[in-house]
Amino acid sequence: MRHYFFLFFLLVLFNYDTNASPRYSDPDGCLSCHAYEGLNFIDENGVFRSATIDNEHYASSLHGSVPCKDCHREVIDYPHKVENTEVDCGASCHIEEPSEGVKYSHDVIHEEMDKSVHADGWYKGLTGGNRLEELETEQDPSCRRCHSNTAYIAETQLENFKEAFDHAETECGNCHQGKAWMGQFGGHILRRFIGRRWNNIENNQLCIQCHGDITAMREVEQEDKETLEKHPPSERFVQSSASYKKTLHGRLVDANSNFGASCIDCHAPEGWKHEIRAFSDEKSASHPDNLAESCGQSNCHAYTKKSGNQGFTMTDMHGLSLLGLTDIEKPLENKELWQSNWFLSVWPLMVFALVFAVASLRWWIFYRTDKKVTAVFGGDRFERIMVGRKPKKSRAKAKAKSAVKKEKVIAPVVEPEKTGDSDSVTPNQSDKPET
Amino acid sequence: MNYRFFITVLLLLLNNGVFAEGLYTQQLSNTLLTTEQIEDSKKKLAEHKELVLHEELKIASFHRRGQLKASLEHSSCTGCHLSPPHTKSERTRTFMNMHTQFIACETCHFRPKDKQLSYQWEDTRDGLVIKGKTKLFRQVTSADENSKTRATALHNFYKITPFYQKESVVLRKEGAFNQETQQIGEKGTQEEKVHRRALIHAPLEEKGPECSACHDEKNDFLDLASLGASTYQQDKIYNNMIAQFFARYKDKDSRIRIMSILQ
Repeated sequence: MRHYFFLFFLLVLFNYDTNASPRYSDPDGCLSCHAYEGLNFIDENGVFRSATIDNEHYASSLHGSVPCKDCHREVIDYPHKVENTEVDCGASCHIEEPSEGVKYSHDVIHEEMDKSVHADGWYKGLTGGNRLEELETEQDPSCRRCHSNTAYIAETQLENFKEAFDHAETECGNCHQGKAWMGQFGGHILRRFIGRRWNNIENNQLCIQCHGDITAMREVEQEDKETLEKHPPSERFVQSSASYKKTLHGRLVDANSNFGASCIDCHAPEGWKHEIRAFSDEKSASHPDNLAESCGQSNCHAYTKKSGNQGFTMTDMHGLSLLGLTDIEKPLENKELWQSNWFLSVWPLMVFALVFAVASLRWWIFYRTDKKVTAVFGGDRFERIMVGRKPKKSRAKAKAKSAVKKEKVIAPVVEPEKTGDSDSVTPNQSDKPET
Repeated sequence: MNYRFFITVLLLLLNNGVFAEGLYTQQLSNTLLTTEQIEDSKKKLAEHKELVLHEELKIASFHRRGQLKASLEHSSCTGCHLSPPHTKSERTRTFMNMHTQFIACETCHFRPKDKQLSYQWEDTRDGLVIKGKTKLFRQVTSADENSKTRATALHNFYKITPFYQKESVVLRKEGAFNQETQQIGEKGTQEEKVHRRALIHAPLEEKGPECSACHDEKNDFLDLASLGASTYQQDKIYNNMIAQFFARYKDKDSRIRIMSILQ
């Protein structure tokens, strides 16, 4: 009986694996052509183009489960008509969102983008051939300007993944293709387990690739919300990336510290992180009225939420004065440093340094072998606050006081015998405790 | 110092010996251009529009592409033509360019009717003949083999090249004729340019052979077995689905439904 049960179990397993569809199915046969290496050409605009799709990378990518025609919907013939290959990132595809089983769509992100300063960026009509047109005509970023079809497990997270799962492969579909659970939930769980796909350096890079290009930023046209008049951007806007880099936020991120705040952390902390509004917009996370909340998020600067502490939030994170700060590699050779306010502000500190130096020298010459702590000044305060005991004088006073107290407690009040003998003494006089 | 100079001269002499004059160069020396050829060349040069190549676009391709290996840097044709060279035909340009990874330009475009050419693998860097081997083909050797790994490992400077009387036909990039052509291109008069263009193209066919020339067992344009293809590889090349798909085109403007590729 047990043998039959085992055989039945094996058959069920075998059937399950053979019937399940692989993660990277290609039902339309697109990869029959597009998987060939070297399908390159130079188009009429002089752009080097490639029709090759790295099929292995595609299988391990975020869209590895999505058949080509879910995005390139109208492709029915060859040569493909360009308009038939257009992609709409807001459209829903045949993939189901794992927890609720609804058709997956990026439309919620598009809705956020629509409220942001980048609202005019293309999100549909995207083709490989109109990237140049977008670069030449559009100032707002399209979806593809920041996002590409990256591997499901980002290269930066690959080592973490291999270590955590003891896996060498990154193509989940190679082993897990027969398991529906893996197809539906595996990737989702992996991403949550491994943690954030992007670190703050990568996060910032998305913004800096445009905002770091000062020439391009100078050409940006901004619109006055009330008058709808176009005007050139302020120098503060043009230099925003460079000034941020000088702040503690930027420096910590550059040093790969978790305490650094990325662009998104301040400009779009909520939702899908795409609702970046102008700081003058009342709904903006960077609007002065909302800074206490924005700066206090995730306990970054939680005290800003308390009344009276809001002044801290007025620290200018993109002030042009920050640009004067140089990256100091050889400070003594840097003339700007010698003339900077930073350097001048060091002088008062030098007085304290001098006092410290003299006191240390004095101690080293006269008292270094002495076990006594000798304070030039402030010794009492040091003992009270740093050492956590009363200063010497106070200790001596307290001792004397307690001695007097004890004396009073121990010594009983004895009436002297009225013997008339003048030499008689009180009985306890000789037993008086030593103090 | 003199010793080094002597060796350099010796190597140069030896190099000239290795690159003996091929059939293409011989034909160029013997060609007498017709008025029709000159007029055609004049027209093509007048119609030619210089294409300014863009650097890599700041908006990257959404999908990761294959490796973009340089393929024709050792060909004399890319002195004037783009690399990849096929740009006009929307239908065939990508596939033609794909073939430039392993087939020399002259293989398709130098096909003299009165001469019997043979085809061998050649290292286009130094013109040395490479013995035909299975591993020189992009085609996998079994169903289990990973085609991408195979293609990635191959070098694009090994190409199937036409030979005549054991001599490579190709026009050498470093040869005297090509050097002269480059100079005419840079400093020559319009008349010289027209003449040189007509001369270079006189022995050539504008259109390459049909796909079926290589992808059909009945035709013998290339002897795949002598080039080193295994039986499995030959079978796959002869029965290539895309070549069969292309064979269904009746005219140059027709579009074919993709579903028919699976039929």
